[in-house]
Amino acid sequence: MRKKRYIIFGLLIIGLITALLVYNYIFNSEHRDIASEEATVNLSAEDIFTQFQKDEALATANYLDQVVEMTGNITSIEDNDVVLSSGVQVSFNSQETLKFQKGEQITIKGRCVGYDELLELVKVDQSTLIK
Amino acid sequence: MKTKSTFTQTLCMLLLFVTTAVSAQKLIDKKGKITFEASEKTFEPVKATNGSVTAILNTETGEMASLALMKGFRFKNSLMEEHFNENYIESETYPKAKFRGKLLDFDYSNLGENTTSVTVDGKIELRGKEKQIKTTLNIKKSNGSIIMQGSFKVAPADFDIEIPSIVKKKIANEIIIYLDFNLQSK
Repeated sequence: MRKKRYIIFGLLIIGLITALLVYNYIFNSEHRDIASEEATVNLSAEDIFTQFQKDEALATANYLDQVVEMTGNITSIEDNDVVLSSGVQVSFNSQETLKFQKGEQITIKGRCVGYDELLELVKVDQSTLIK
Repeated sequence: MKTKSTFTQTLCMLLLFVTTAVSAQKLIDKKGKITFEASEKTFEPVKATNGSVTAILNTETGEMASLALMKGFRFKNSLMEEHFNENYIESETYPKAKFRGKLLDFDYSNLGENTTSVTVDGKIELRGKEKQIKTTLNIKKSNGSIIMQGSFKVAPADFDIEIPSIVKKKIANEIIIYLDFNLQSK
């Protein structure tokens, strides 16, 4: 009799924990942390820009939502954004752009968001500076 | 003497031409904001914001264009973001939304620091479908740039987006899209 009560009690607790875990997974699961992810490719800003210009669908399939590491020269700076090699717009999470200068060569890691044909720029967000 | 005055005249004309050509420039916003909301009462808010939307306005003709990359929409709930990209928008196949349109009866020179209502008429292209949009925007000048704000409604069906019956109650039939652009000359 007492054993049965323990079992029911135990099942209830397990049920409760599962419910909490499911709830937590659905409503509070963490966003990707791009800064801590490994880059899947390492290339130059010119290279990725040319690839998007040549065949956008193919480049989109290759790079969309991927963590990319790229090197390029800063051609413009605006708020939290810099443009690398006149072809890639890189958005930083923080005010890192403050210490940059035009013409400087930097390497960054970020998530490729796609190609903007109005500006003719590849867009990368959630970026961090590598060097 | 006469030749000199004609020369000055031509010079003036030329100068005038050059200045009009310069004022007929395009204003650009690289970091425009678009938020959409499809929340239903009592359920978790269905809402996302994209903070790097491109908008271009030709001040001479009133023509404008805008582009938003789908992966740039950020949700508070990461699972919702995943579903938005994978099941509804299919952003790998359709990575962007584009708008092309025109501001009706728009006169750039009459625009002041006070908010003016301007009607915009154009088409949104998303998921290979086009939808006519006509809405009123609030526009004003501010420190040499143009602030443009407004909202309009679309339905998932406009773009052939099917909402499965299990989540139908949680997603509104009408999706409100808010836009907030700050257009500057570059």
